Amino acid sequence: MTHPPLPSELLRRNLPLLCAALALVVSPHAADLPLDIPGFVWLACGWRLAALYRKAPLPSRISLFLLTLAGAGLVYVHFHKFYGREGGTALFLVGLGLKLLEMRSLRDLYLVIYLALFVAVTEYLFSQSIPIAAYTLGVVTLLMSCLIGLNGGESLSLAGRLRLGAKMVMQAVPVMVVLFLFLPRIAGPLWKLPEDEPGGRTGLSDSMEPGAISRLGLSRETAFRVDFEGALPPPQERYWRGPVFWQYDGRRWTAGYDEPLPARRPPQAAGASYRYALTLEPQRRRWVFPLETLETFPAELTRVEDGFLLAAEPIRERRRYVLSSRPAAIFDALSEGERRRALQIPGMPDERVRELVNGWLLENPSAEAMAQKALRHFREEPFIYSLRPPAIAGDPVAGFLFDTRRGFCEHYAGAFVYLMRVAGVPARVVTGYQGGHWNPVGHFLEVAQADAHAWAEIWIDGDGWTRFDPTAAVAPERIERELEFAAGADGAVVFASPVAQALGDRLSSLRGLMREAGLMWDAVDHAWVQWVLAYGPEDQGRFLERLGVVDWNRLVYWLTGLLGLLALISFALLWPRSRPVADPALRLYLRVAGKLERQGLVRAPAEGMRDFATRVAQTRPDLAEPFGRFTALFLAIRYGGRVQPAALERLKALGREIPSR
Amino acid sequence: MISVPIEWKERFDLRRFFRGEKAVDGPIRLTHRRVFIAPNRRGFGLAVLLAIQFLAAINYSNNLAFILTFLLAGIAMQSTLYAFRNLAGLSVRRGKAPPVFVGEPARFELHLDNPSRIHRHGLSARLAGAATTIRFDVSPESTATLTLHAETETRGWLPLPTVTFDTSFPLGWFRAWSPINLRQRALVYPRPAPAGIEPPAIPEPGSGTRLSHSEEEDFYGFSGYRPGDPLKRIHWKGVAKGQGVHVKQYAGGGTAELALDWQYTPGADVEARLSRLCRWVLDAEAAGTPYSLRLPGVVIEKGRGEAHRAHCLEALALFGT
Repeated sequence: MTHPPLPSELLRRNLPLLCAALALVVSPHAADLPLDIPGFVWLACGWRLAALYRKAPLPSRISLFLLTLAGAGLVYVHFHKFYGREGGTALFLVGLGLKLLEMRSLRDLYLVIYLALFVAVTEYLFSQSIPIAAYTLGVVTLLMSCLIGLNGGESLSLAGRLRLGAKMVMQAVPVMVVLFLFLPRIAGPLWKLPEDEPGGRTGLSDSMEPGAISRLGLSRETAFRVDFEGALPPPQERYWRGPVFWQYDGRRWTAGYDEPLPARRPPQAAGASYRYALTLEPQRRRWVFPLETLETFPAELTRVEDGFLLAAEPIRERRRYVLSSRPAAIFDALSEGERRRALQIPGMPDERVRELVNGWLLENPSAEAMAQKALRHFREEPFIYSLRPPAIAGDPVAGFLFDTRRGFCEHYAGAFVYLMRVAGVPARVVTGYQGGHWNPVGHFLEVAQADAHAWAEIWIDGDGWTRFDPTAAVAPERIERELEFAAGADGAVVFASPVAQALGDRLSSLRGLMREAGLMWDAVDHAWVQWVLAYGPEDQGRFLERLGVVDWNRLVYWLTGLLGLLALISFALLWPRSRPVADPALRLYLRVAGKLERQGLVRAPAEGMRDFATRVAQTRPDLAEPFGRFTALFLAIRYGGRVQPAALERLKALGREIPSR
Repeated sequence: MISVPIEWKERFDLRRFFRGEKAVDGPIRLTHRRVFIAPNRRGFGLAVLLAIQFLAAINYSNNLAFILTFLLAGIAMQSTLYAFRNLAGLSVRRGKAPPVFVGEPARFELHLDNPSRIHRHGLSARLAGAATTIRFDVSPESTATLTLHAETETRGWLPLPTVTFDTSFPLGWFRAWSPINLRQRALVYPRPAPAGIEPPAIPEPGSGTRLSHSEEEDFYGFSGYRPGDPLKRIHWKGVAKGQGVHVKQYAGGGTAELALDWQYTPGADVEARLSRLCRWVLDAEAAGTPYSLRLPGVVIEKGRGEAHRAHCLEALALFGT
């Protein structure tokens, strides 16, 4: 099928805006893809505009073919495939550039715009931040303005096009909200995601080796955010449980199993309960980090024997889980296999370690007393908490305990568990996060990657697994810092000169302002994540249930009802209104004229009122008398000087005498 | 504005969407009853795009992708209202429809009143059967006058074909259209035969046999200008001198008048004869010669001028109808 070519006038009027919109729609991809991919589209835009203004030739059929090969080659060189998040997006971008160059008919132009709208969506696969959302919204407005330009006449200025485009986008927001809330969601993915690695994301690792967590220690990136329903647990209870390490090979701590075991016998919870919603940032793992001890959790998650949660798939998008925990828990006995694993050490311990532990064993054989001894050892000996510990030669535990004595949570937790095992106390390493920053603006706890932590648990008969945090013995401030933003007393530096003091004060108040703005932004971002990005099939189910929408019929009623209502409202707002008639007498006259019109008596535009009355009298003798009187009084009121209320009443009465049919 | 009640049978006739309702005198106001709307091919293209975006959003569980998809759906929904509004409230009045000869396009004038404060963008109008459409805009509280052209193939009255107004404004995804039938007609005169054959001599006393206006003929004198006198006989020099408008009179070749009679007109058939007569009427008028016309059942007495010519041509156009 052939399509009519684009009128050159239409193209001339609309191409600049279109090229601007296309150049902008691909720009955010410059951050996610190699620069030459969006560059390909920028080049195409430039070429097309040059062809318009400079009368440069557009690419010939052969050059187009070569350009297609070049574009496909570009994608292949970078990604070695044409599908997947990066490869697929790059292919769409290159296709957009090519289609722009070979755009000939109006149909092609629409295809270009549809491709651009799809490219706008692909950007969300890389970033879902508020700025990106606002940016794409702006670009969509530009694309809509292009369509308006194509369909409107020449009388529509560029400003008029942009204004109408923005207006239409704004007016579509209520419909979007209704669809977003009500249109049934299907849980994805529909097809297998090609191994899309959300590149370069930090997070806990599945083994512990000195140095792994310290890298996280420098990252302010959010790991997850927690909204509490009700009370916040005290700082010493804010331990977010992650993977547990049982196996030590002399250097690395690992889980000691390939796949965590599902919980056989969940510990019985007791004591005060905390209900909270965890909004997890994307990570490469399936881990969800609950508080101790987990009580309730969504069915899609699995509780594992070690006390944390596993999702079915790696958590690639932000997810929100509602959980509850009770810090106190009751366990039954430790199985033989578990005891063996919890006492495992590779080879013989170092001489100095054996000596130390034997000293403790002589004094008191209870597990808890042993742990206290170890903690006291850390506290009383010159141990230093440091994120940059020196390298350890030889046996890592002995080297740390007796030579360097500088380290952070990994060193302390690892050494503590090792000591316990040497002393015959079942012990294990727990990793996860500890603490978090309270955001007073949004009332939530923000847990950063920097809060990643490792601690130890020992088995105490009768009490079960009991947490000991040797890091706290060395650096209690690392654990017990509370609401660090609430104080706001820091930064009060004393300066010698008054000018410097004033500047310093100004600076510190500016810093305070910045920090407040930062908190505010965190709060907005959290609200965005919670209410917009994390709204999934489960949230929708809960929302609809609360409205009483339980079956398809009712859902259809709600959807059609709400959309219909919105359509009616916009219709009422959009309806063309004629200018209201100010003169009450004229208003009455027009109403009566309307009555006559419905009976086929139409006053011609040029026909005077008196002439019209005469004509009415001729065609409808029955109306001659009432309409004649009505017209006479109307003319007297309208052109006869002052209007008296009584005369208007009389006119109204006369008007009523004219029959409607 | 007029709003003639519509019969139930007609109301549910699907053909109304394209043919419109019965012709009325007008003016016709475009209301919800007369404005129809449906997605066009680009609208279906949009539906495909939305479906793909929706699937991508599900697959990646990407809420912003959902939001953008739903936003576009909302914009599409809005655009139906905008497209409808672009036509709604306009009212159509008929304008002039001057007579034409067969073969010339008939010109129908229409007036489109926009009483509202809305600017109507990107409208187009098309006559049923015509190949071309007219694109136009109507400013707020103003009137646009359109001239639509219809092919003419036969003489007689040509009723105004269905006029379809349509618009895809603002986004081109939906087409709103309104077929309008106004009771308007244009008179189509017969196609004038080619020049060449002179009117035959009619053997009747007192009537001339020749169309004679050659410059070789004797100048006879001046007479006062009467409407319908050929311009080329006006004594322009006299006009320039301020002597008033006079017309030169020529003498010779008998009396300067012509009787045109169906009975003595050569021609293969009715239409050929009418064409021939049409040519003679035009020529006689151009020459300023008074002429009479005689058709079976019609007699038009001798005369001259625009009105006389129109009268004769109308008789020719409507002969036998």
